[in-house]
Amino acid sequence: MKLQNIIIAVLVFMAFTGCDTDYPKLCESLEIENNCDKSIEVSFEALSKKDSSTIHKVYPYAVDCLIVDSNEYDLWLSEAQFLTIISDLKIYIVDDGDTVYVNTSHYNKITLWENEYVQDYWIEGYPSVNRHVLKVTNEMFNR
Amino acid sequence: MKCLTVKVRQMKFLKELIFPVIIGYSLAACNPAYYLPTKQNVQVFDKKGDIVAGGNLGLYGTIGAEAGYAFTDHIGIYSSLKGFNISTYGGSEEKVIRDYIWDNEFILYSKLKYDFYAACNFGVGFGEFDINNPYYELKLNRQFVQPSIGVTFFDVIQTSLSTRFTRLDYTLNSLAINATPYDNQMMRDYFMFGDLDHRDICFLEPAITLGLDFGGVKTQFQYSRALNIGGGSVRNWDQNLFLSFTFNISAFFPSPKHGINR
Repeated sequence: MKLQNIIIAVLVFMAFTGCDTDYPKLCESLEIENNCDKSIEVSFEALSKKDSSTIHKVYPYAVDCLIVDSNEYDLWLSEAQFLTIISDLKIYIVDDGDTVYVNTSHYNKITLWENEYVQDYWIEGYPSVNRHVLKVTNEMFNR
Repeated sequence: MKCLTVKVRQMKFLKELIFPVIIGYSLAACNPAYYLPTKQNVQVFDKKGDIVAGGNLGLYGTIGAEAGYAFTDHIGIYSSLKGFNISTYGGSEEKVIRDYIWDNEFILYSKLKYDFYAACNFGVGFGEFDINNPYYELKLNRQFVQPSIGVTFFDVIQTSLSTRFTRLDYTLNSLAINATPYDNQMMRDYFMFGDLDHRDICFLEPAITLGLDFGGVKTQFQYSRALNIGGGSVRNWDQNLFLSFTFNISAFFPSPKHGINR
């Protein structure tokens, strides 16, 4: 069967079965995009409570995507909830034995994160995905 | 060779017309909407003193009740309440009433020669969407003019063409406490409001009605469309079908003037 036919079959199936909820939750993702020429470390205590690892290594020009637990919010992540979650975010680089942190003023407001609301998707019960993207650059590190 | 050409044409037809419709419907069916064509009241009065009451059913869980009175042979008033459910995700598939529009109309009508009928309805309506939801309050005011023309065949079969010119005015309030501009924008994105409360939105709504008039009882089948013709945009369903029954109560209680001569 052609891919096109499969996609149509899935969409039609979803049309009649996939939208049986009045207020489906958004999928909220926090993404750290490493635009530096070296690997960076991301410590995200609030989101890593249920993970085995609390520190993520993000290679140059790679993205670390963290999906917020939907129990943390109602339909979407409010600004206050977003700020609470990122309050313990630490981004740093280990360079020649030195640990250099990104100043929190680069990411402690919601407006400092690029926000992209992707509509019309129906992914595992989520009507849409709300992406919060922080682009980390070399200039953000205080030395 | 000819068979192959036909097959290619069929595939092209499927790709260009059927597939987009299927994909569009499958995506849109889940999403909320904030306007739809509602039943247009046509050929409702015959003469002075008519008291009319009835109900109707339509797509998207539409259910309505209506009543009217003809003051003279040319002037009447009509009120109709329509309930439906289009404003929630997947709402159009449910048979729950969460949205309503209540219209009140002033009708000028005239029975013409050769069983023709002409009317013009001037209406104002107000409505609300997703009543008592905890996130927002969305109210609608609308004003419309609806000219119509109809004809009756064999004293029983009626057909009408009508067009409603509608202006919509939405009022949106967030119910969130201490909402920031970001939170308000998220509410708009999530519920797909767009800028519906910032602009006057205009619709053109043509309809065709076929009916049977048995004197005291009238049944009508109506197909109507809603075409956004300017102002702003709103997510809407663009067509609807209705089946209605109305009873001319005055016909069941004839006045002495219309009674049987002894």
